[in-house]
Amino acid sequence: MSEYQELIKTFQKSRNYVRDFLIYGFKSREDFSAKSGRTYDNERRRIESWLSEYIRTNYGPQGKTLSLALDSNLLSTNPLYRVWKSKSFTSNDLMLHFFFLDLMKANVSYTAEELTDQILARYDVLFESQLIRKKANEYVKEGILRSRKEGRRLLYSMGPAPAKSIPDLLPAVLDAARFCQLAMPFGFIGSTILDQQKACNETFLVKHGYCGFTLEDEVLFLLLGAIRQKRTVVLLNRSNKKFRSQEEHFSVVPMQIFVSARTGRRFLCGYQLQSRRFSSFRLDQIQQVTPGESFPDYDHYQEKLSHNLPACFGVSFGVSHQMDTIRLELYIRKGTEDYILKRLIREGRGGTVTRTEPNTYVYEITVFDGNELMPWIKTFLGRILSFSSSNQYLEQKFYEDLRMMMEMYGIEE
Amino acid sequence: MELFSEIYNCYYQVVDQILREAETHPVTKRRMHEICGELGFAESSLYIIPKLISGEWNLLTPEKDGYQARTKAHQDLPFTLLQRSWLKTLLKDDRFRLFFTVEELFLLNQYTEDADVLWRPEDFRCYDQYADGDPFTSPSYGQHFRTLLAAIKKRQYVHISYQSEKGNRITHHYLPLKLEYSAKNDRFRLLAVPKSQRHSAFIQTLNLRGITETILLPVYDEEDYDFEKVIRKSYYQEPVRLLIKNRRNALERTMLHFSNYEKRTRKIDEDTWECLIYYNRSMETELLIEILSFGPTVKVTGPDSFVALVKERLKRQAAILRL
Repeated sequence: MSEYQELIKTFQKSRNYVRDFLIYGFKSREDFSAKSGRTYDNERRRIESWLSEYIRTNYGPQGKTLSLALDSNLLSTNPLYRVWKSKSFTSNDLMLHFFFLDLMKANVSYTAEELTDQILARYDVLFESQLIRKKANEYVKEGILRSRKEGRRLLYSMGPAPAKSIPDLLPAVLDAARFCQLAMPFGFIGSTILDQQKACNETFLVKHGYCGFTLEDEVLFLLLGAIRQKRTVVLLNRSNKKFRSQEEHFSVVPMQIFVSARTGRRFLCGYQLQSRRFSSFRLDQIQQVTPGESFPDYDHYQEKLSHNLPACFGVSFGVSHQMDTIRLELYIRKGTEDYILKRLIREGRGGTVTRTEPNTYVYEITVFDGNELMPWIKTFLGRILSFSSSNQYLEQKFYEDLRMMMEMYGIEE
Repeated sequence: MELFSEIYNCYYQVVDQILREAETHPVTKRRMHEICGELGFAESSLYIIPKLISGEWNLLTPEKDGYQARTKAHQDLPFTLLQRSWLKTLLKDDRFRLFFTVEELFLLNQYTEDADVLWRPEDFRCYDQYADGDPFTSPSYGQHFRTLLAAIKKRQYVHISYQSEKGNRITHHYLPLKLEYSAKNDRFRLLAVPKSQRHSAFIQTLNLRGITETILLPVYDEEDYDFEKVIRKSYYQEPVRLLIKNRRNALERTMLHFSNYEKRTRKIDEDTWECLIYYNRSMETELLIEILSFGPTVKVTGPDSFVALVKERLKRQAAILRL
């Protein structure tokens, strides 16, 4: 049985545990039944260690539960970036890292054999030159070392640190990193820039920030690579409906990443090869991405998607060929409630807004899936004069929901 | 180019700092523990220090007063290809460009020349972002942004002229505290304290796009300002109490939707969960309409003042439908 370690080899391993602690925060040991109790104990201990100051322990009838107490409005960085800073390594990896930084500081170049000799002479540590070459080549790939040929000799050198190569630019880069690490895709890369430069963020906050998104970045990285290379991918998808995990494989041509600023959810929009239609997959439900072949008709489907997008209110392309038309009539007092009118226009995603009478406005839109508008429409409760749709089901659902809400709060209609 | 790489591991940060100090003077075990506490995880010292001291990581030599580094003034790590790629990708983003002058953008472009972009702006579609985001490319907006950024860092007072969305004009001297960005609104807001209310718990929010003039004043703030304490103080003592019925996948949807708030959740029975959400007055209306958007799957049970807000909207709705 392997010994418990604070570091991990693969990101995927801890991803679902961290997500469950953050998102749910009420699951006990028994609820994590997919793996053994010992696995749960190790994962829990690891997460407690990574995120100690954000962990809250509760005891209830279900036993001990852990949750992450994060108020994203007050965070100077995303605490979940720590998961990205937990990759395991060997003693050789670590020692060579610092020996390289020490040896190659004065713009000197060495072959792998010369590095081996230097390391033995200066630090009294003997490595195989093959191992050093392997590490040096890895660092060339990471852009830390450069390599060049001189005759038959392959020489390695290191570029200067940012404080020397871009001294005047660095303060602005760090300010930008302070902000972008919170607000941009792959923000954890920005946080590694701050780590390396011993800088932190005391300037920026992000409202409506969702920490959990960083757990999907490995999936996102592979998908963006496939989009760039116009390749297909095979997704292993796990849906969480009713807590019954269902794993399925999908062959997809990845097209675009859909992002919700309101909920932090991110989706892959792609063309499904089997069903021959556009679909969206939640990134947090994608467990694995396997890159496939290049897709010759990529541009054709990209064009088709761009024609479809205006009728896509959110991420759904609908389940039938019928489009849904929605008509919402609202009472908005002109002058004193103009902010509601502004909301309707800026949040309406292309729907038309028409004043039909003094203080009465009509919002209309035709989309693939009218169901996606329902939560937003309910945010106007208190001023809805009428709601109608070409989809009878939506109309019934709206009035049924309203009736249930009135009943729930004891309000007579 | 690895995304999940040991190069970014916090153990490397810890060892880097220990070596940096041990290159100039012997470092004690106690100091090593402190560095582990500052830069590592909660249990990192249990792994790092024995390996350094035993020589398994052959980077330190024992001395009389502590441990000396075998390295001599090792250099800082250059930006990796991944980091340069990220910066290069962001060069296309108007919000990122706010931080730089035209000359600096040119230099950064050169610096990241060998890197590939990680994504293109058109690879993302933020489908529910408000249509009226800030004018990030406006020269005057950029100017105000940079002035306020400089003032926050130097804790310097600024003369600000502001026009609110309702058309009110304000001119005041402020101590800028933070720049807050909302992805939903695609806007920056300045959180600042008016000079005349420096010692009150009042933080004013100004939309950056409403700011028409910023002049740095030769006045600096010397006292500490505990921003988080002031914000926390503004939170209501009683959180919003929600009962969630797991219909239409409501549990998962609410948990994801409200994951940006500090919350506590517990299971009541097989089909019902209770969720407490901590909030303050400035979040109240937004939270209210977010809760309403879940319809009958979520019921507010407290505090009474919040239940009254929900009821008031529903009563208004009931009255309209009777018309």
